[in-house]
Amino acid sequence: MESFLPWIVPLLPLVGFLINGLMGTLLPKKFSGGLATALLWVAFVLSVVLLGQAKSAPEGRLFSAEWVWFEVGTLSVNFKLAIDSLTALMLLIITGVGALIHGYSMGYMSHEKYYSRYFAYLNLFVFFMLLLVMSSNFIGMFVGWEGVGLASYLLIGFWQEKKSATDAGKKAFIVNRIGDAAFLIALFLIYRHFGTFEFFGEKGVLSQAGLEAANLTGYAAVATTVPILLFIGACGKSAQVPLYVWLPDAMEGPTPVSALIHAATMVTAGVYLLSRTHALFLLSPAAMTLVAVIGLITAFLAATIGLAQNDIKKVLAYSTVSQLGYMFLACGVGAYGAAMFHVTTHAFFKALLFLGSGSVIHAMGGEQDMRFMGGLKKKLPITYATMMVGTLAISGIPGLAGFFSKDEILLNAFGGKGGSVLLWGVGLLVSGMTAFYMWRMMAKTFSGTFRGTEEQEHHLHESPISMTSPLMVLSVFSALAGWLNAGMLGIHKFDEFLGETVEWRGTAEPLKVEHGTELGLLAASAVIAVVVSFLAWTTYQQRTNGELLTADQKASNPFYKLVLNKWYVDEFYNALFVKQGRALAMWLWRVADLRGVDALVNGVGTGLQGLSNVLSRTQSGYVRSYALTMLLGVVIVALACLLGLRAVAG
Amino acid sequence: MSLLTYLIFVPTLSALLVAWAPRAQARLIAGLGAVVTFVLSALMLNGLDASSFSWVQEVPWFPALGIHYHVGADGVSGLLIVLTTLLGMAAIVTPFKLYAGKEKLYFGALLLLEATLIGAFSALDLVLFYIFFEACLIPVWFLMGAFGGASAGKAMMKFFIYTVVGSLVMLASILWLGMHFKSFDYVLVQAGLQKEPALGTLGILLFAGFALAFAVKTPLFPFHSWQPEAYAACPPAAVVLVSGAMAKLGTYGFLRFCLGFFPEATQQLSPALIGLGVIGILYGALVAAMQRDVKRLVAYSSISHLGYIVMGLFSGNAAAESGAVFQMLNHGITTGGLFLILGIIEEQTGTLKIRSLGGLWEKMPIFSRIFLILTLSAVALPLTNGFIGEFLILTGTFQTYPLAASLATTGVIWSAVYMLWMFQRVVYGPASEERTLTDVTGTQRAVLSFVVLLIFILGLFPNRCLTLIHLSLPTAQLVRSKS
Repeated sequence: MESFLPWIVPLLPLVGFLINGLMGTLLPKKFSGGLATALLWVAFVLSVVLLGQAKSAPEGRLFSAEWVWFEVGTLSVNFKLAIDSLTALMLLIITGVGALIHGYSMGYMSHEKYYSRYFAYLNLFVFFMLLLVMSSNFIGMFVGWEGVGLASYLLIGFWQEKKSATDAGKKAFIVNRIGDAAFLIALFLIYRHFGTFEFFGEKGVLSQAGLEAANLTGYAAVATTVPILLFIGACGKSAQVPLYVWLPDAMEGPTPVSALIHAATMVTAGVYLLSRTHALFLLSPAAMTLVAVIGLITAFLAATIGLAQNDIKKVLAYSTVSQLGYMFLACGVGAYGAAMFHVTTHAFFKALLFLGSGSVIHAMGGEQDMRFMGGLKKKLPITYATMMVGTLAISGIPGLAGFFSKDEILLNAFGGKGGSVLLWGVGLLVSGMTAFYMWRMMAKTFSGTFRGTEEQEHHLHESPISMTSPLMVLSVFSALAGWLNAGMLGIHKFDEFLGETVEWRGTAEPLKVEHGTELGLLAASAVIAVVVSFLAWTTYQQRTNGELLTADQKASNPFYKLVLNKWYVDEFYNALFVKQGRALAMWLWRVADLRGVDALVNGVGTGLQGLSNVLSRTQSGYVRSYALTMLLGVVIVALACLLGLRAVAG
Repeated sequence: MSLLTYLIFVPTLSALLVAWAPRAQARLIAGLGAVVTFVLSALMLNGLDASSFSWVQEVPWFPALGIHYHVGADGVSGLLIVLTTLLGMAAIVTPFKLYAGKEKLYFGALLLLEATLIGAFSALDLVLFYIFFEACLIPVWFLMGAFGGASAGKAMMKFFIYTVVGSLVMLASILWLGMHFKSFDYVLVQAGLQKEPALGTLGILLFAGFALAFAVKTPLFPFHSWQPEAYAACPPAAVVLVSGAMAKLGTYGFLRFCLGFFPEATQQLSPALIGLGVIGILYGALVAAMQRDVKRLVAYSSISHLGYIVMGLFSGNAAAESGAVFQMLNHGITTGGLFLILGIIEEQTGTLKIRSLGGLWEKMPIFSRIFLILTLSAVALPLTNGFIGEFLILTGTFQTYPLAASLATTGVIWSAVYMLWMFQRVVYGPASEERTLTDVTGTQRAVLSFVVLLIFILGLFPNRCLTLIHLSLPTAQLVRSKS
């Protein structure tokens, strides 16, 4: 069953990009933004249609028309899309949440000079994101993967006169490229053993037959290397330790961009990658453990940093990193369905919270520091109410979306593949910290007294309907989405929907947790969430200045200083990689290139000239320079031979 | 007469006309000549049969010595000739401000450079190849001398020493082959070498003779130090041809002569060449990041990109070899385009010092977008031409030399570092008030848009080129001759 229909979905935003990109300056603003938004709504409707078609297709998977992109000998790469329920879920999130955020942007960016460029970039992002989740092979996915990186780079640095913004964009791209390099090496290994990049089909990488064929060429020897390399790729895109450092800086971009790219969609690409290729991950317990541990470390580290941030967007950014860590924890214990469930609920409530923070920043005239906010609930009632729903959801208050998805992850961390009390315990601790920093953020922003300037106070206003309506829609989903999969009540709609695509709770390996234990775990996470939320909120209500600690306490508390300074990770990276790398590059240029390699040829010149008075020159610096040249030559030859060693076959 | 002969003849004739006609007409004549040459080359490519040499013409020259005027093109040389005429056209047609009184020299030298490059790519006689290979230095030398300014002297000296030393060693190899086989004909020599029993050390020496000349021309690390200074001394239009097309003589030579003549020595020496390629990739990228002058930055980045090509050529894998040839085209188009961009920046701001640039986007939005696309092509972003080449090279090389390919893959990080850092400092940031910048219009805009179009055409529909290349690879031909 092949059709062109799937192609229309990604092509719609591409058309929007081309129109806005090529002649955006000629178009009225309303048209630019309206077009970009309308195209996404069409894409959303088509995605629903595709979902229906995929469900009725053989094996629940719909393939698109395909054509050859490039081909050399046996290496052939096609443009081809495949839609199954995992892809369809991502499609609905990307186009649905995406369309809401596009609509919101029309209000938020209305004063912007480069309005059409903004929407061009936003559409470009959606195009690549759709390609990423729809491609039926690794290469198409990689195209989307790099493409969303590009869109993210362009949008983070959208205000390009600001050096901090273009710095952040560049950092995001480069850190992502570190992951991409690992991703590429994984692809080379996959090609070596599978001989194809296609996921599905007879010899597909994810098919049983493909795997058996690969084992004949010795895939078993790299069965751990490949998933680890893929995971490093995911760490870049999904901001996991040690590659998470770009995401907090990415908050330099416009806030709707943070909501769409750096919370709801792009950063979950890594989770999608792992879910899509879970067949490869399940082969290697070592890789699975690594994923779970890195996920948990990320969740913990980012949550601690979130405790002390004063910038409202930075709190949300670290919260995102932390929640992504949860999703990887789920992947690491084999609960890919739980990870995707959290991707879904997180997309709703985190997009909501970011857009809400955007509404606050909009009202505050660009101010992002919560120390200069406070008491905004009366002036921004809709923003306040909707963000309240988002906070209740992310804190894990029973009944709201975050509770169900987080509970599912903690349950699996306890009893899933390689799950343990330790994983569960730290996970629970992180959930407590999440509740704390979220309520701290709400209280600092909306309660107490206003701490900004008089001028800011004068201008405070609720955002226009174009911005508040997406907030309201998202808050409904943030409240209710969890009921898709209320496991303890026997509701498994989401499980059934994803079904075999992620082998979640497959018949082969059911979760080994007693019903009584399950209820106990559930109660523990519910109690933690409610108690921490209650304590944080009520305590902060009493501090009208929004500060829990006094200045003295802050100065004397080493933990506070550590997390306020983000564990000094950026400083550490700068000292180790940026500075040392620069020193090395400088040395290569100044010493090796200009004095070493260049001396070779200058040496020939002077040598010819001065053969007669060679002896008189020996005491000068030339000897050293020749010695260095010779040494360099020897090193180069040795290195060259080492590097070029042919692989031993097999 | 073969179309290839016309292709060498038309730019030469145009150069003579430029020299003879009044100075005011120089630009017009040169432009016409370049356009006609490009159209002819397109016809040539269209009528090419990649499975053997097409458009062959053979005329005895010094029959007693076995030297012929023998030209012909297969898929690889056909594509490289079109690249040359394309870049020649772009370089000549793009209106750069002219150096008063030197129009004749400027256009004449550019046209002669184009003619000699076409000659070198189409030569099927070793002596003929050698002559064209050397002759293309002369116009470059004149261009550097006339337009290079104060530092040109040192750059010319270096350029001269490097290339002459390299070429002399190649000449020795050529002479040995010619004496031994009583002919300098490429096809005859190749056939003779195939029948020859194992050459052993002699084969390695002959191989090394060719390889040294090509390593200098490419340039391959550590034979590169002439290049940044030569590029800095050349006027923008000349750098487009020198970096875009002339450097390809080196990589083309590796493929045509080293791989084509000495499969055995190739196998033995491949590890060393791949090693140098990988070192060049990383070294070029790191040194590029530190440059304070954009032109030198792009020059060092070329060393990095050409490292990929050399690695792919010697990988012994057909996908990587095809990717390497494809990457020759990409590098020509992208780097050529970048040097055009730099020429325009220099003309508008009077400087290429990174520190003194910035804030171009506001006043030159279209120009900056084109610059961005070229930058993305240089970092091999998917859907641009650069991705296909780099991906094929890396995937293919990984199958035979996984360690080298893995190290080379980290190049995707380093290229992002130096290119995006450069782009940020040159284009982004607040616009400077005192500078009057105007966006590209007219011919400049048309030429740059054409380059952008090519980037996407090759990135999205690379298959026609890849088929042509694949059929012409020495490995593919060996398979055919055996079967």
